[in-house]
Amino acid sequence: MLTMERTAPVAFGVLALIIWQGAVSLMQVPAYVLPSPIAILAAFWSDHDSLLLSLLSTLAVTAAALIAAASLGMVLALAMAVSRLARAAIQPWAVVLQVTPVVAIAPLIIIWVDQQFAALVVCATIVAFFPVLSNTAAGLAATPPELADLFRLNGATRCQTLFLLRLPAALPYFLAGLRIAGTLALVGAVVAEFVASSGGFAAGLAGRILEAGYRLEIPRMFAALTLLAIAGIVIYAALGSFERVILRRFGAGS
Amino acid sequence: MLRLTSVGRRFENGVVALAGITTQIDRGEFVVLLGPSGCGKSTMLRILSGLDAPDSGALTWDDGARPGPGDIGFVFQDATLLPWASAEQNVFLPLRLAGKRFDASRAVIRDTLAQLGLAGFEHAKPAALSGGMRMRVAIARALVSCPKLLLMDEPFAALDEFTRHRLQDDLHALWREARTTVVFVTHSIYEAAYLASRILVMTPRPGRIAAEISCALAEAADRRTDPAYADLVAEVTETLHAVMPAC
Repeated sequence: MLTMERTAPVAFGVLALIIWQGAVSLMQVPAYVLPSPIAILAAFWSDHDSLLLSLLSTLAVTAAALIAAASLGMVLALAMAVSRLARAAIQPWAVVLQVTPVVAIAPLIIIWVDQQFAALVVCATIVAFFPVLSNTAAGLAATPPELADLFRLNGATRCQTLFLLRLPAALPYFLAGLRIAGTLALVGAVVAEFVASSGGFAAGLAGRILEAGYRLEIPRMFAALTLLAIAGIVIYAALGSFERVILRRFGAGS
Repeated sequence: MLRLTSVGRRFENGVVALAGITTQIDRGEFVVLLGPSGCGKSTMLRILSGLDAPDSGALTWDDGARPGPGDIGFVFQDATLLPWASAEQNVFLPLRLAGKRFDASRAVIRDTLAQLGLAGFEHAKPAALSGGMRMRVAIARALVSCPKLLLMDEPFAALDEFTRHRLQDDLHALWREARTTVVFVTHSIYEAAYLASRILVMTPRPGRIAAEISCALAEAADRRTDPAYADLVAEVTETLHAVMPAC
């Protein structure tokens, strides 16, 4: 039963690909409307150097943004946990930043930040930091009250309570936030690349997608899209395993 | 050791948790607070620990008995261990918070764990321990700083009967040996009769002390089968029926 459940997504995907391939060949759909899976694979193969290089560029932005988002979210959550004033000051602005569509502010950021890579990272970080911030803040606020009482009874300082109790207790929350942030960083990176591409900077996968669109190379466009989807899945799964490994070593994974 | 004089506690929502509590707790006693849920037993423990303060009345400590950090051991209904720390690190916690070094405390930590039958489990994480063993670690943590007063809030309520009996036996043996002053909250008549040197029966809404029973059981290890134990259970049951309002 378990193995069936595990193979189900693969089997479903393969079935869908076969139906897709069959439908496209049977109905003779032109490739510029919907290319067949085989045509997409061929397009990828004929252009894999450029596509993989672009993927690498996008992933570099994503990774940098994820690290920045994790640090920023962690630091802000800590500030909010330590000081009520900081909480009152930070929270509304974090929400403002979260609800403002990054597409709308990306052009500004790209103008303001001279270095293109840095500009993309800033955009992706804005998209990705919020789940880290809100999860870590929730974790820091959800310290088991009895343990907090125990620390109080033993005369713990604020510093001791923070480092020996509240931060470790918030770790599972932080990791869950990080997993969401990983995929959001990719989304943010691609959105920022779309905006930047119109300004001539087109190192990432978004550049390849736009380029293929202009030239009506739809199979190549699908190939780039597929790479993005795979990258998203891999990031999500990798952060998921990272989370499990850390929690198991940490002893809280039960 | 300490004296409570008409102590009252009313919560913000208007519930009167405690009213007119007057009693005293002497050094070396094993006092059991017995009563149904919601009769203010836990509130009383929190007031004794200093985590909560009475609205009226006074809590007076004898000269030199006023507790400082680490002088009060608290055991909750759940073991509430740090899930990421091993048994010995959990037991080390009160000492660590007092600024002690682990190397200097290793011997006392080992001894305390061994006293609770946990020799060999020093490095086990809580997730790898059974409920009863987790509770043993929690008791070791409460005892490691040699507290003047040990407060226990229904610590065995979530355990199965066999584990509970073993832990009751071991706790009572530890008390006979060390004579730490204990205040123990329970809603089990059997547990109260087995452990206590004195039982305070509490009634709810508002929480009051309705009766006081001194227990003169021989302090032997096999008291559970002693006819005097059955008599004590009967006496406590009768007292409870006499004072408890119908619900």
